[in-house]
Amino acid sequence: MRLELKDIIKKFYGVTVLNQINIEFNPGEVHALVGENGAGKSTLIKIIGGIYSLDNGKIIINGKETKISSASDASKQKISIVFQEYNLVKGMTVIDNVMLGKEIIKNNGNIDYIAEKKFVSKIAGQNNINIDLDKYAEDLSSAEAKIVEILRACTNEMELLILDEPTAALDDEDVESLFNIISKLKKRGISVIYITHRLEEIFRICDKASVLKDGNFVGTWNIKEIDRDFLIKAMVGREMEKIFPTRNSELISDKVILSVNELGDGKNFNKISFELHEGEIFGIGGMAGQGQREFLRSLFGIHKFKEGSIQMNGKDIDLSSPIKAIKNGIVFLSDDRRNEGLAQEQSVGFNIAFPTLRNRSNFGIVNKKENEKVINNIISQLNVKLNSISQPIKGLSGGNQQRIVIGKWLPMHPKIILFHEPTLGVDVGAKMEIYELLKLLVAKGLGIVIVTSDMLELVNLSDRIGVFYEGKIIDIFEGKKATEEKIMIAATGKSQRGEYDNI
Amino acid sequence: MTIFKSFNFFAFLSKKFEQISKKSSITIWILLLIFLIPVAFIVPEFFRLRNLNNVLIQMAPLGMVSIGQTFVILGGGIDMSVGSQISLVSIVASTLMTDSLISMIGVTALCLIMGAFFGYINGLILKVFPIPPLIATLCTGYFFQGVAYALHQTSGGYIPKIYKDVFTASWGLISVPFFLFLLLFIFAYVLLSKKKLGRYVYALGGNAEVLDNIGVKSPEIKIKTYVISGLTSALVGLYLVAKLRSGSSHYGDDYTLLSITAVIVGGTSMAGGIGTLSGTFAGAILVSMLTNVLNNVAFRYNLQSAYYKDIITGLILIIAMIFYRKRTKK
Repeated sequence: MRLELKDIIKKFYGVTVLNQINIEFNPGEVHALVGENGAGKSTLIKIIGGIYSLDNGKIIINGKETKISSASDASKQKISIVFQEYNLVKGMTVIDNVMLGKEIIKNNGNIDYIAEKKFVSKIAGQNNINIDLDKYAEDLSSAEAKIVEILRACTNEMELLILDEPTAALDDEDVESLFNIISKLKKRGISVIYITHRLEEIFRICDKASVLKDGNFVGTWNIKEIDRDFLIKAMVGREMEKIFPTRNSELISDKVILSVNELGDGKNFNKISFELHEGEIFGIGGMAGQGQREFLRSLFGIHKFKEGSIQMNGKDIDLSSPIKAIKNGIVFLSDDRRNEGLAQEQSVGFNIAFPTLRNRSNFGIVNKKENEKVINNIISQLNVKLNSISQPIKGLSGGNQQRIVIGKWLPMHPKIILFHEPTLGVDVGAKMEIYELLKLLVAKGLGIVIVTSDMLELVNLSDRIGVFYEGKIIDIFEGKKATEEKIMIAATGKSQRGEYDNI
Repeated sequence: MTIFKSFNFFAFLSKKFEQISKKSSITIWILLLIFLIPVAFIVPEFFRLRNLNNVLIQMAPLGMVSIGQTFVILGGGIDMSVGSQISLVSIVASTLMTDSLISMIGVTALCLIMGAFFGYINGLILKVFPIPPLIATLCTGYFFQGVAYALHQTSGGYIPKIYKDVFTASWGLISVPFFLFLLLFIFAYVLLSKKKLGRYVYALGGNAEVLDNIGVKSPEIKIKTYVISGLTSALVGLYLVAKLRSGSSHYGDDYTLLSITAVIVGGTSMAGGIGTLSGTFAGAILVSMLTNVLNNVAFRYNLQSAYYKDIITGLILIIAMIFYRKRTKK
């Protein structure tokens, strides 16, 4: 299939996530789509798959302009997608899952289970897929589940297969069998769009690579003409906007306020150790889903860890619940601001006041005057523009909401702030102010841990950076010496200290 | 060594059993049998043919509503309006029906269409407004109940005697209501495990996104599950109105919670996607048998059984939920 994307534009709630994308996919070609987290890869394939509608631009299939406005439109055009997310029905068997939506029906209208089983085992055999077809999906490992999803795609009549990070859950052996499947498909003239963050795979299996960056199209290259470093540069090399405050690393004292020793939960992260100094911003980066989220949450007692210990100012502390964490002066700001950060229907004043209401209450009754004083004090500190403090949260912009989330903890005089995605869904102007605010806080002697998928933020805001890969800190960089390229290399799992010097 | 071997064997056996019971209704049937043992000692009258027939007849309407409820719960929803649908149908049927054959057939058809329409409304609301099905159907249930009250404050209306005779005829262990239930059960079983729709219902409750991704419109499937539930409710409304020869806005009161109990006790996951109709069958027998046994016990010891029945139903539902939670956590 020859698929051309012309000037594709997609906006979510006024934010442009894809801007003027022009890519051409040719028959029998394995075409890699690469870019950082949030570059727009998944959005783009969901447009091709008919899950999202496009705001502007054209999709041209074999020379004809085609509208793909639903998933069934996409399958009519012989496009199959293996999504990044888990996409099986747990209570159904492998066969039922694979044949869902394309049942073989007998004359009497019943499903022909025998024919289905024959068909699926034939396709599985053709592609060297070994899997127990009668197993229930919930009993499959995540690698097996991915294989089943690929098997499902193979049973479709298809001319284009889209694989969105298929190898994230696979071990080496399964990756090999996936590559075998891909090369077989290629021989049959089927086009493949391959999304991955493991760059070495691209050089093994792909013919071409297109790079997206912040929703913009960077370029398409033949794999033979480029190398790994070139690709990394294309992915990260963007103009430095002057939105970051100057780094004053001299503010960092020698005093360690938080030390984490070999922390692990037995599943998502393991043997994590680092020290946080007074006045320091410690950044945690890496590709999505390498255990950063669970780790940060375990420092606040939301996620339970099994091994290791945490010391604050040299003393062991108990972080088994958020209340205990708060008592120790640790506060947490979630990446899910809407659900976990703020009460959307409630007023700004309420949201700022509620975590610390107890401090201003006598026998359970809140001192109203004192309460308002605290709220107004916080609002003027944060520089939030409001009509009144009784304005509901949900009408505020993302930037203002994020400032309120920070503000709700400030009356508590926290010692450590755990901040997940500090500027998610926040425009550039508000970003700058949030960064300034964080700098102000560390200048007062707080320690801040940020987990972010925004590479620029990570590099320019953090005093030190720990990069997560498969549940471990693969490397810790000094903020001054870190570059996006170095972090990218570590984040893709290829850390060999020293390799960075060549870049 | 032998100890080890036998230990392994038992471990193997229990694992095997777990694998079976996860997806099939065998656990609940075994539970039902175990439950029958003490019953045999406490109330020997229970196993008399007449009483067994009674149990089956009593179980039939609950079984039919539960079949509809199974479709809805498997699809990840819940139908809190079945009770008031039953009541409303009974009121409409008893108001409109006259002695002529055409009227009897016509009103029966009308009531079934009405049931399907009620279900369609439930499904449509959920399609257009993404609100929790519990709330949505609770609201429509109040609406149906209100209409039923408005039409008839007290029980009343008229049902021809022949209509009653047809619906309540019984020979030995075979009775029309149980036969109707069996017919419905077979029909529903084929629909759920042999047809495309069944597979989509499981997928809807298991992971609705998968359906959307393959281009099947999941809200349409959801509407269908509620239509099926509306149809079974209407059928039960017709049976009850025939049996008692008058309509009442209270006929359905118990059926909402009892049908949910039967489905959950029968092993269907409250979250949808997992469960069987055969489990619901056993669940319906268990729940209605409990009522029968309690009535027998109450008669023997001169107790007021109605309150105990409610208390025990509530307890069973809670225990079943706890059991179900444990199972999914594994």
